[in-house]
Amino acid sequence: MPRTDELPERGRVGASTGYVPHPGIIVTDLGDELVLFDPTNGEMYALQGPGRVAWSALGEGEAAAVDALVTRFEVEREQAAADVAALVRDLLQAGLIVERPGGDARP
Amino acid sequence: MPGPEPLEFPLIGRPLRARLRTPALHDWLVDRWQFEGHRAAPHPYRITLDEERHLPADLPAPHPGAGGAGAEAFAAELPGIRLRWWQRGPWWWTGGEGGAAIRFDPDGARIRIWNAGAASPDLTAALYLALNEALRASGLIPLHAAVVVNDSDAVALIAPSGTGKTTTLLRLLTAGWAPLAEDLSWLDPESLTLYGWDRGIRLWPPSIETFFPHLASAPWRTDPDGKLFLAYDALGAPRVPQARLARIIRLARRTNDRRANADPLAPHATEGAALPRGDQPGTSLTRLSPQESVRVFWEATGVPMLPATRAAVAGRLPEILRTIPFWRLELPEGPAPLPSLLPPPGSGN
Repeated sequence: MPRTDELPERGRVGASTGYVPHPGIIVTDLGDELVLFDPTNGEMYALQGPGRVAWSALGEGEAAAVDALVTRFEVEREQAAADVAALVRDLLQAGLIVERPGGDARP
Repeated sequence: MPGPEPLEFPLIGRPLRARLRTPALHDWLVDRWQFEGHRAAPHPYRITLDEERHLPADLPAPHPGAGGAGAEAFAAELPGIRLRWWQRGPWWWTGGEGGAAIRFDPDGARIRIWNAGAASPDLTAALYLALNEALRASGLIPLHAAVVVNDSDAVALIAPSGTGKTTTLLRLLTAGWAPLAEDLSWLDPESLTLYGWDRGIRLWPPSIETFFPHLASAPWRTDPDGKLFLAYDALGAPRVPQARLARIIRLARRTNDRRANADPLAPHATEGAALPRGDQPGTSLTRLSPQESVRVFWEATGVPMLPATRAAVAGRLPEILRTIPFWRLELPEGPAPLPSLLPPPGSGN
């Protein structure tokens, strides 16, 4: 059953302390990957490895996601920051996350 | 018109107590929701349903048709009907002069409907959705599938409308399988028990004439939507009330028609080795990937209205995927497949 437009606007940019899944998205944890399902259009997305690690930390903001990547993987901070920024952009564009109000999430 | 004498029966162990003033609603509730033969342990989640003559004065808002800024809403689609629900305080509302509201509490759900005469059939649809959501909130999961049973295991056949779910079910019945459901069952994710939730099969008249002419003289009943209904008993295939879910099979129709491209499982949907069946040219049985299994599951169960219920079902899904194999059965264009595509009853597969 599709939700309606009273839910948060997708891709909205604003003050945030982090990012949370869009309330209409269904997240299923399959262990080695997260499956994100948008019931309004049937689109599915999967996050594995670094993407999954970053997703799990995005609730605390992009800086936390960068820290998580640098800690878990052999990656330069600059590269991790670029990867997280790209991931956040893609997730926002797909309407899979929304900013959590209350501060600036930017690292 | 009878007075609102309470009607009480369990919904898979969940006690339901209904006070309905409208005889048609009373009959509908009994026909669609009261099923004999389910053996389910008593469950503490209680559901009450009260029909009132007018919009109850004690509900915390005027009728929800006004919507309003900031009101959380949910749109539910049923064939020919779109219902919008608004949340006001603890109540979810739909309708207006005639309508329904449901409140979910940890130990139960309370449903109230009013002015039923002004709202049918939308009100019946609202009541159907409210009861669905109540059962979901109690921990059960609806499964829109045709389900067949061998000795003790149930196989759920999931498919978009028009793919051949019911005709496949009928073919399997002639091969010795027993019906559990033609369209709807409820899954208890704790025990993986499926409870059948219908009483017979529904087909469009041309399907009967084309594929099952021997059933043409059976005592079919015409439903309001034009489909014909035939009770399981009249088919000579008594319904199995419940069974353990063993497999889920997503049917997909192989066709050159462009509409096949709209089937999300048509391309790039599977992994693992396909299992072609030599006796069935043009068919194949393929194990679905976990991702596609997730899609098939949500296709079959629908999306709950309550975010908390949505999250609870999603939380159950990984264990279901670990336990229940999901397959894709591609059917050839034309008549329904023969039942040899599935292991025969008693084969243990």
